[in-house]
Amino acid sequence: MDSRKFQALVDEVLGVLGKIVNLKAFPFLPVIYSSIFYFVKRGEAYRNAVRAIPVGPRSRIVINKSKRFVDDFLAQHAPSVLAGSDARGRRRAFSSLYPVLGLRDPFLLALFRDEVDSGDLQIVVDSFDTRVHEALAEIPAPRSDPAFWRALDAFVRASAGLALNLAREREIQDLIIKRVNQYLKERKK
Amino acid sequence: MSRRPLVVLALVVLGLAGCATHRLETAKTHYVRAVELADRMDRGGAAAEFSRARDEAAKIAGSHAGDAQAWLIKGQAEIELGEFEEARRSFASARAAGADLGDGWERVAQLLGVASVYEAMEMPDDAAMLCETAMKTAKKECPEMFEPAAARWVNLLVAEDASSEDPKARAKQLAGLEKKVRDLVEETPGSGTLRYLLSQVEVHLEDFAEGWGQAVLARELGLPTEELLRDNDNSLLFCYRQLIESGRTEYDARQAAWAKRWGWPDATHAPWMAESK
Repeated sequence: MDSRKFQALVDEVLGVLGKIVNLKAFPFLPVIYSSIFYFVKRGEAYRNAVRAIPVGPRSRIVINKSKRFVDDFLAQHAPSVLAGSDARGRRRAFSSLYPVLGLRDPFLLALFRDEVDSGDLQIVVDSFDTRVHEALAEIPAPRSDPAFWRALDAFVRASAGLALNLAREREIQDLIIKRVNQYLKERKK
Repeated sequence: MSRRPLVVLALVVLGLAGCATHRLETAKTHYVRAVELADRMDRGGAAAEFSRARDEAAKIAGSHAGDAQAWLIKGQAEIELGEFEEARRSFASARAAGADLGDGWERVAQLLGVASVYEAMEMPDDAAMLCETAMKTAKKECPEMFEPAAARWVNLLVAEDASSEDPKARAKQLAGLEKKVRDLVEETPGSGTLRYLLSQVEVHLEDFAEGWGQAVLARELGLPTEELLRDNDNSLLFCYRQLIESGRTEYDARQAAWAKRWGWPDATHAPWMAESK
């Protein structure tokens, strides 16, 4: 992948999206990020496939896991939480941490990125419900604007030409987040 | 009578129809986008788009009471938003407006709505019973609602509550659930979602070989959302680790073979797990 070209593409799409939505408003960062990353990863082929699925209610996961599964997950991802909690506390921690670290939900990962990076997982557990609720409540529907989709589609087409290496997911995430922060910083000036 | 007023009237009527058609298209677009966003686990975007779909559809449904499609979209968006009672009313209106629906849609929405009330009241057994009825109704009368109802039913019954303290009672309850889910799988062997649900029950029963096997089949048959796929992968790998820890080393080669078939970078990492911790 040519990272400079990719960086230029990210800057371009941010320029377009920045005119449509207020990127400074907090919840937009994870939303924009997950949108961009999704399209990088899946491309148009997946989007078309998803559009072809008959419209209907979606399935949901079985979130109630066995004690053994919960403990195994916490031992792998949050040993300190496992050690310091009773059964009820472990289940509560699991319900917050599993979507973030286990399913790697792009929206939640971006929302709790700082805490995940710094290992402050107890903060994720304690503030999970409030922060997710606040973030969801504040999000209007910027993607209802056709210009939003046009910008993302153009970005996907251009990104596809760069043959992104998906094994470098973290690197791509970091680059996008860095450019978003840079964009916001420049807009402040 | 001059023809001009008729022409004006015709234009007004056509304009209104055009406006309603445009609104209906907008509502559908929001709904399709919401589904797309939900499938890729973007819950913020999905919630916003489902709300827009519901609101746009409500505008047409309110002004053009005969618009069955608008009521239908409104009801489906409400299901996704967990507004089951409103969904029931929307499906009833869709049917009254001529939509080709049985009353199953209404009844399933109503059952799921009442189930969520029982769930909130911490009465999971009653909620599960209602979800089971919703699932059976959906299977016969509105297949689109079958898998979501089945997932809610299984999720409620595998939950560990105070009654789970009695291991015998718990084992009996899970064994009963396993039999019912297995029957569903036998009726629809090609459903990846049902295989996933069976795998989840097997994990609770600590039958890790069966849990692993059903998760493999679920992956092979296909799962409708990214979230389900990831959860299934996690269960599959959990079962694999338990099997290896218990000395079932033959699963090393089996896991490696499937991982290779799916294009995983190694036996224990799906591509979506690539980001470092």
